[in-house]
Amino acid sequence: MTFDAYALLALGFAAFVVAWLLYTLHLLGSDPYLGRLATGTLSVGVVMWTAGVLWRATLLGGMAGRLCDICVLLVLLLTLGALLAEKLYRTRAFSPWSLAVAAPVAGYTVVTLPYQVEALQAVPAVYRDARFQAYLVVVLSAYASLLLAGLMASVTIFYHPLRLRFAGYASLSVESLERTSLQVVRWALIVLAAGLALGMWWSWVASGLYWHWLAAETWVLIVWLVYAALLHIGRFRRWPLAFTVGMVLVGFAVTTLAF
Amino acid sequence: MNTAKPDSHGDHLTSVWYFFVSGRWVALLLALLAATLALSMLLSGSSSVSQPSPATRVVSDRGVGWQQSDPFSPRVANFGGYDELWLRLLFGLGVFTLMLRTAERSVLVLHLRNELARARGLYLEGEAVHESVLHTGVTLEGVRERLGKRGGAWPYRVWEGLKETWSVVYAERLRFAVWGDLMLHASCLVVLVGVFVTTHWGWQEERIALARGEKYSVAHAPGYVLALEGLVTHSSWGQDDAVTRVGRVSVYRPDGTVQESVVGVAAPCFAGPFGVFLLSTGPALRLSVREDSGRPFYLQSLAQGSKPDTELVLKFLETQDENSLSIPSLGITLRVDRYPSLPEHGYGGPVYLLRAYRGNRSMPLFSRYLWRDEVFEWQGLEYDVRLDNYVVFNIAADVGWWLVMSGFVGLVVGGMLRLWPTPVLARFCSPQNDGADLASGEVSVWCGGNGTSGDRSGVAEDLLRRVRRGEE
Repeated sequence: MTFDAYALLALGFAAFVVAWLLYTLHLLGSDPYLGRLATGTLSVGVVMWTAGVLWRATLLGGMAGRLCDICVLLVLLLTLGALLAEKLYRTRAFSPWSLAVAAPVAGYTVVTLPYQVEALQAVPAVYRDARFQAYLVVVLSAYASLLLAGLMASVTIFYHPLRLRFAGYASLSVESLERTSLQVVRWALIVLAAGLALGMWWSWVASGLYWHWLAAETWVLIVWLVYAALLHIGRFRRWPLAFTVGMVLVGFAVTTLAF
Repeated sequence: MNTAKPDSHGDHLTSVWYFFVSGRWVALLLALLAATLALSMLLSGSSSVSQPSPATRVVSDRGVGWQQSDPFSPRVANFGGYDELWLRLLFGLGVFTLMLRTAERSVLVLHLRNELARARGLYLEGEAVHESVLHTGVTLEGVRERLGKRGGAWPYRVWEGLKETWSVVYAERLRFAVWGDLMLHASCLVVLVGVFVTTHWGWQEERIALARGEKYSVAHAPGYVLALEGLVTHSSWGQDDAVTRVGRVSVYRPDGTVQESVVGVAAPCFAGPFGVFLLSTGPALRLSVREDSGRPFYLQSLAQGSKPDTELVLKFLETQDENSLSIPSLGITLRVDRYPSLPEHGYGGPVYLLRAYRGNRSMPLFSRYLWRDEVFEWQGLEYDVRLDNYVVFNIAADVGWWLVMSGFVGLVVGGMLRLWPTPVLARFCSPQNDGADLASGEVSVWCGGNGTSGDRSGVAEDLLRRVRRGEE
């Protein structure tokens, strides 16, 4: 990987750190100027990181399921998800939480990438197939969304102390937080199903069999089943909020096992 | 996704029905399946199994090496015995439950007008997001015209209420969620049926290694023979060491015709009832031995089931670094070892070490390093060595695959239909019996659980705005 691609990733990481600080300051004082600045900084970071990811992918012929590839993609999708959540739900409450996960992963990637031998190797031909690349992106998008939903559920748990300390959480209610996190879970399941289908398609054209009971694909199925069970378990208004949040966090833990 | 409580009392069959279509039973099934898979993975696989083997690395070396070594070999979940039986039981219960839920959703789709109360319990929030009195004059035909005929991405459907003493008009945008839900469940059923078809009627012949000129008779398709005619190598991405190989194959059919195709990575060819899939390629050594007069000797590989031939192809699999063969008529055993490199001997790339033995003597008769095509002599015998490649194929036929893929497509489409348009039900009531004038009536609007409270209130306001706009 050339210096240029690596430098873009490093710049993106720096922007994420600055954005996180700005978001924290914005939520403390509910200053709209700081909020816009934070969103702008995050957007710049996303652009830099995306450019670095694409440059690297072009040089190496795509991405495989290596740890380095998963890390760069996950950071990209988490930060994109945060921006999307801001746009859709018109709140900046979730972005610092998303950055709290994305920034350390980005930092780890930036620090260790030059020392990972496999990160510099060309991607094997079988993984350069467009279907595999799409499978990787779609599944990681779903995982990022599920992680976001878990973070939203965490906000629900710490809602009252957060509301006391950060003025930016005053406009949210516990019910809307719950509903938002569940809605994200629903859409993430659809995306995960699409990812499963893409992976099975690639597996079939590459080997003639669409399921091999490999670790990666089996965990995708397990994550999908866990969240599908969560969504079927009943109407949440009759259950304590903590139960719903707890279920989402259980799914969050299962998702992290998938890595 | 739960089910409304049954109205019947003491009807055991109905209770059983409602139990099996309930969301909590489905949640339990899904949780059990997830737990079974997770436990199987954690208990049956070691950490070394869950990680790709070193063989999955690309070993590329100036055109002679392994390529895209089989990424499918490290399987971590192995079912057998009681856990397989348990898994089959869960799948069976899943199919049964899906059939019942699909049937229930079908009833909703076909009789939505009669089942509005149940649909409301399934897809809408319990409390109305908007309740008010209509101050402007609105007639039934007016509502129908402003909501029903007007297009938009997700149009409303308007009908009169049935069996009610008041004049009631319903405007619903609920049917998309109902259709989406039906499609979701039916698609899951199709996926499971596809898996069943694959398990019982699909077949695969795995890891068939063929060198150039070798043939293979397909066991599941009598009369069909697969032959590898050659291998084409080309570089990818402009890098010298990133090569891709495709195999030129011929499929001989029972009727005597021959189909010639090219099989590449993730680019199978289909011949008759099956498909040919390229899994990986690897290095091979083509060896023949002749005497001075040119008469070839028969060579016998020491691998089980091999037949003697005047030219042998030694395939070096990913986990196999040596091959042995014998020249029976001379009593000589040849051993070939492959090394990725031997820098201490001056070889920076892959190199083969050929050693000959006679009887049970430990000292070789001769040894020679080979890294290119070569012909050499030893004691009147001419050894012809050529570097080559072999290809590993899978041959498979599976009708279930198409069912599974269709099911997943339906699942995604059904899910999007279920989630994208916000389900809405509006009820306009008037105390007059004739239903002609709803000017002094009440309006209630229920929305689905999608989106925030603000979004759902916005949907209700938009609906009422469209109804009132006709009076402006």
